[in-house]
Amino acid sequence: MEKKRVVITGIGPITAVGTGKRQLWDSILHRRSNVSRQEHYIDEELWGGFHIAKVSDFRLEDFGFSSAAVRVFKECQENGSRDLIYMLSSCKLALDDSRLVYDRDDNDIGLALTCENPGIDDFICRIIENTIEIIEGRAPALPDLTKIEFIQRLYERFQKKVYNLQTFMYLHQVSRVLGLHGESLFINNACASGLFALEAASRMIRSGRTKTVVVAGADDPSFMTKYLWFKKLGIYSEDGVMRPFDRNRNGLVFGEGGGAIVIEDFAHAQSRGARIYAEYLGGGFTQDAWKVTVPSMTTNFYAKAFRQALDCAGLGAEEIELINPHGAATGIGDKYEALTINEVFGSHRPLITAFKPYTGHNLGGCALVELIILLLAMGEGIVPATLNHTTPDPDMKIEIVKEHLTRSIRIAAKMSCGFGGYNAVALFKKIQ
Amino acid sequence: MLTAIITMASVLLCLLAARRWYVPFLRNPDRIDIDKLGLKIVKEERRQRVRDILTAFFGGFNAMLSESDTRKAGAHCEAFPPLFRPFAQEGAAMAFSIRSFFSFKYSTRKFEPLSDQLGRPYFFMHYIGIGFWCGMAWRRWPKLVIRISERLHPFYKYLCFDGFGFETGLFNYLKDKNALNSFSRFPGFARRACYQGFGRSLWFLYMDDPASLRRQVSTIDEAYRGDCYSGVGLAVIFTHLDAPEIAFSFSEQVETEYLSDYFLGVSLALYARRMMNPDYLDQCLQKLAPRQSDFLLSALRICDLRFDQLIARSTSDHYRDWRQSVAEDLDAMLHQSAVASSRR
Repeated sequence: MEKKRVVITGIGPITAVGTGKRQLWDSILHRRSNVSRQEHYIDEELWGGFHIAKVSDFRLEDFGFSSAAVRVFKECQENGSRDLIYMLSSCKLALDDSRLVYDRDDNDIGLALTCENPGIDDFICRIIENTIEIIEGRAPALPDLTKIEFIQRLYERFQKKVYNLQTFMYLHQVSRVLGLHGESLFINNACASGLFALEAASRMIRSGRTKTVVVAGADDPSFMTKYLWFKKLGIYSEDGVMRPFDRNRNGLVFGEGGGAIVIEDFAHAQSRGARIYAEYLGGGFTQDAWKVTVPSMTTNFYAKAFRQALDCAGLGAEEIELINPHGAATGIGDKYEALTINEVFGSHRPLITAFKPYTGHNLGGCALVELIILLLAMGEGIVPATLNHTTPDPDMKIEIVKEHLTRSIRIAAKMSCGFGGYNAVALFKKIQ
Repeated sequence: MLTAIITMASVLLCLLAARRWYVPFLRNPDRIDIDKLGLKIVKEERRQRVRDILTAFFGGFNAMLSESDTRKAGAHCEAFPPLFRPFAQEGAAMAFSIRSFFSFKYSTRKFEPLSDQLGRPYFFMHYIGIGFWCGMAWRRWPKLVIRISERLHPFYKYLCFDGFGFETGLFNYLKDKNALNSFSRFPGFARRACYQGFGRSLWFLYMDDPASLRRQVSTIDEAYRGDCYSGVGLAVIFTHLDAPEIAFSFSEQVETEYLSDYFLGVSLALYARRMMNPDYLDQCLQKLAPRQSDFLLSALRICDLRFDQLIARSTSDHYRDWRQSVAEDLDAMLHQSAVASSRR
C-alpha cells in the first residue's frame, strides 16, 4: 500500500515579534527582534533580571473563544505560567488558518502537544513565595501547627495547581476548548520536542486513524528559576543578543510564545481545496544516550538522524536547498550542528539560516515556531537572514545567510536537538 | 639470539594455528613478586591489597585474552569484588590491545563499541588500559601512541596518556630516571596526563612511605608536580575506596600548594567510581566523618556541574577544560573548607 502523504495546511505562531503569520513575517522581513530586560522583585527588593523576547499585547479574548473557555483558562493560569494559554491560542490560530470545518461534537482530529516543563517554574516560584510568606508570618506559622497540619495546609494550597500541572490536563484542556476528539499525545523531548511531536502526529495520519492532527508547542520561560538554571550552565546571553554560529556567540535568550501547525492527509487536504504550505517528507530521530547537556563526541547521532531523514524521504543530501538548524548560540551546541552539517553534506552546501534571534529560544515550542518561519520562507521565496551573525567562527566551516535572499526553495530541512541527547531532523517539500 | 627469535616465532605460529596464540601472554598473578616489581611497600596489609589488585588486573587480562566473546570477559571481571573490578577491567582493556595485533576485530578503531560490551560503566579504565599497553609496546614510538589516541574519544583520549605515564612510572622510572623524558614527546595536555599517570604509579611504589613519595615528586619539573599529586589522589581512592579516610590522612603529607591538585585527583576518582558502582561508592563514603563525606560529595557536585557547563565552551579540549574548571572550584572550596582550616 502506498504511504499516505502528510501535508501542512495551517500555521499559528505566537511570538515576541508577532502573533499570527502576517505579523510574524512582517517582523522577519524588517529584521525585528523584541528583546528587553525583565527584572524580578521579591516584594520591593530586586532578585535579578535577564533579557527575554516577550510576547506583548496578548489577550486571550482576541482569539474568538467562548467567554466560558476564557474564564476557565484564566483561572487555570492566573498570574502564572502562560504556556497553556499560548498552546491553546496557537492551536486556534492554526485551525483558523487551515479553514478546516469540523463538527465539534464528532470528529477524529488528533492533537499532539509539546512543552518542556509545563508550569513547573511557575509552581516552583509559588512554593518559594509561600515559604517566604510562612517565614514572615503572613501565612499560618509553623510553630502554631503540627507538622501534619502544616503539610495538610500546604497540600490544600497547592492541590489544584499540582493537579493541573500533569501533562494529561494540558491535553484535556486544549481538546475540550477546541472540541478535538481524535487521538491525543503529550510529548517532551526537550528543545527537539516539536519535531518529535510532528513525527508522532504524522504516524497517526499514515496509520489511517485520522486525517488531521493539530501539533502545538509552547513555553513561557519568563521565570527567574528557569533563567538561573541556564545562567548556571553559562549559556545565557547576558547582553541579550543571540549570535548563532558566530565566533562571539555567548548563549541564548528566552523567547515567550508558541506555535501550532495543522497537518493533514494530502488527499483530504486536496479534496477540500486547502492551502498547502509544504509536504512533510519524513524525519530522522536519534538519542545520544550519553550526557544531558553535552552532545555525544564519538558517534555523531545527529548526523545519523539527518541520514535517517534523507533515507526516509528518499532524497540525496544534494537535494536539500535550505537548512534551518537549532542554532541556540551555545559553545558546543552550534559547533556540533556545524560538524553534523559538514559530515552530511560534504562539499555540497545548502543555505543555512537560524531563526532564534528573531523570536528568542522558545524551548519546548522552538522547533514548531521556527518551522513556521521556515514554511513562510518557502512560501514567500525569501530566505531570512540570521540576525546578529557578523563574525563567522572559522572552526565551524559553514556559511550562514547574513542578508535576506530571494530564492525559491523546494526542499528544506529543520534540525533540532535538545538537552538529554535528543536529535531530530525533518524534511519538507514545497508543493507547487 | 637469532635462534631464540626463530624458536619464539615458530612457537607463536604454531599457537596461532591452534588458535591458542594468547597462551604466551597469559600471566599467573600468584607468581608475580611485588618486590621484583620494585614496589617499596612494607606493611603486610598494603602488600596484600596490591596482590589483590594484581589478581583482579590479571584476572581481567587473562579473561580478555582467552575468551572469544568480549561480554564473557566482562562477566569474568564482574565476578571480582566491587573494590577490585575496575582493575580487572583495566587489565582486560590492556589485553584488548594485545588482541588488536592478532585480529582486525580488535582494532583500536573498534575499541569503543567493544568497550561497551566489556563493561560500559568502566570505560575510564579501558582508556587507561590501552595507555598502559602503549607504554609497554610503543614507548619508543610516541607518534604511534598519538595516532592511537587520536582514534579514541576526544574527551577521554587523555586517559590513554595517563595509562602510559603509569606504566612508565611503575616499570621504568626506578631503573632509569630518564624514562620520564618520553613524556616530553607528547604535546600539551597529553604530557600533563602522563605525569598524572606517573603520580598514580608513585602511590603504588610508595603507598606506605609518604616521605619518599613526596621526595620523588619534588624531583619532578615544578610545572608537573601538581599533575603528579592529582595522580596520587586518583590512586588513593582507586586502591582504598573501602577506607576513604586515607584520602584525608594522606592529604596531611601533601604540600599546601598542591593540595587542590591532590583533591582534584580524589574527585576525579570518585566521579569515575560513582559511574562504575554508585551504591558501592555510597556505602564506602558512609564510613567517613560527616564533614569529610560532605567535602567529597561537594567535590562530586562540582564535577557534575562543571561537566554540564562544558556546553558553553567552544574549545575542543573538553577534558582539559573540565579538569581545569573542577580544579579551580576545588581550590576555592579548599580555602573555605574545614579541611583547609584544620591544616592551617
